[in-house]
Amino acid sequence: MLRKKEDKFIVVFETTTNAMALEKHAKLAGSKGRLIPTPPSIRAGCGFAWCSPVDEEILIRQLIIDKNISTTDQVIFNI
Amino acid sequence: MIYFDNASTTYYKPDSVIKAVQDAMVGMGSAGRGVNSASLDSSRIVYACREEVASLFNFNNPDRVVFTANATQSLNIAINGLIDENDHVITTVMEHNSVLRPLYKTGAKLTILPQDLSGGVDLKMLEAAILPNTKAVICTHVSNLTGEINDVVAIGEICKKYNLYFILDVAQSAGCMDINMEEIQASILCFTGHKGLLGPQGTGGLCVANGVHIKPLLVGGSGINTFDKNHPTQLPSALEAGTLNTHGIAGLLAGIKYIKNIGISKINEHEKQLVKRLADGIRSIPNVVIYGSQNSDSGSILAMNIVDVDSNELADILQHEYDICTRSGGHCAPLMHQSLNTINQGIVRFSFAYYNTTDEVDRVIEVIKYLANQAYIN
Repeated sequence: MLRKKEDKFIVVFETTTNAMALEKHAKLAGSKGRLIPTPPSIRAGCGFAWCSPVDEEILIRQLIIDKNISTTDQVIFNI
Repeated sequence: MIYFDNASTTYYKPDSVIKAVQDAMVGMGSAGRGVNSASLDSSRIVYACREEVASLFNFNNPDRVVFTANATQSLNIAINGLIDENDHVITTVMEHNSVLRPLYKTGAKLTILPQDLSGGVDLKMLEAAILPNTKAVICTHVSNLTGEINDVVAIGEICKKYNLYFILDVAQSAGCMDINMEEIQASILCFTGHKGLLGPQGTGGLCVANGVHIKPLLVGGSGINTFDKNHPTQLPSALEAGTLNTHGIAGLLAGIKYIKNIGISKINEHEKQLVKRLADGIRSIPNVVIYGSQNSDSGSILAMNIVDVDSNELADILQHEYDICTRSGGHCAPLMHQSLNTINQGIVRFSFAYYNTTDEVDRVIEVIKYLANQAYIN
């Protein structure tokens, strides 16, 4: 293990375009999250996943709805 | 040099476009191929460009903006991905070979409509041509030869009424006139980046409406679903196999921002003014023939000849003796030449961009006057 693991709110996408859309809107909303390589244990798909502190879960879920961003998974994950 | 061949490609690109390409070439990785900062920067530029394209065409799905190398590639993707030999397709004499040749290749039954007096396709004939197996209407927005315009809103209405795909080629109109995909109700809009959008050559794309499923022309690297034997079906990845031309797309993004800053209506007014000035200046000259309906809504193109002078000869004289760049010959529009009876002679085309000036047009009028008079003497 290279890093100490902690819970994060992870969003997985079908396409890179969806990931770019969430990144744009999340940053505008002041999120501390960032794009990371999709953890293989979550689900294969777009190579990008959005990773936010767990306390941003509501914010990010709402952005996904408001901006109509397609995702394949939204989970709390120990990463 | 006076450059009046903007319907082929715009020659003068804004400094912001050149800088964007240069910046991309020194600071961007491959879009969608990793989460290193260079790749992410590239992906962000591509996404920003999808948003700008969508906004430009009043299309509310940036994730259904697909990038290609040019309008020809876009049209090949759309036509080959939707049409087969069992289909009937309605198209027009105004089409470029980038529409006609892919259509011929599908083996589909074609109805090719003539122009009406307005210069666009005859809408009553279009509606009358619809058969039970008609799948699509595929046409250009603006003729690349004469600048004549199709009433695309009316065509879109007919397509909606009969549940047909409407594939629209906006190679000549994008960046030069307002294009509202929602109002047009197009199923697929095919554009190029290097003409009115002022981007680099090697850029273009499609806007694919919701519910339209195009079978991909190419499959392969997608950056996603690596272990799946099948290419992803989600747009835009489904139609973007292989590494994107991100350096070009960065330039295209800058080009679209540039024209949006000026305003499409302002660009349109300026280019129409140049067309009208040239038409008014040469129309009454003996021996000059102007083609097309030349109504006030025409595109940024004027097509002409001097009596029976070979168009290539005239264009060559304009270039080598007067430093005026035009396009001559067939313009990849064979059916238009058939319709205008100019297959052997070809046509000399003047096509305008925002950077062209009235002084340049006046110089051309002066030269055409002289040459037409010479033709008369000879």
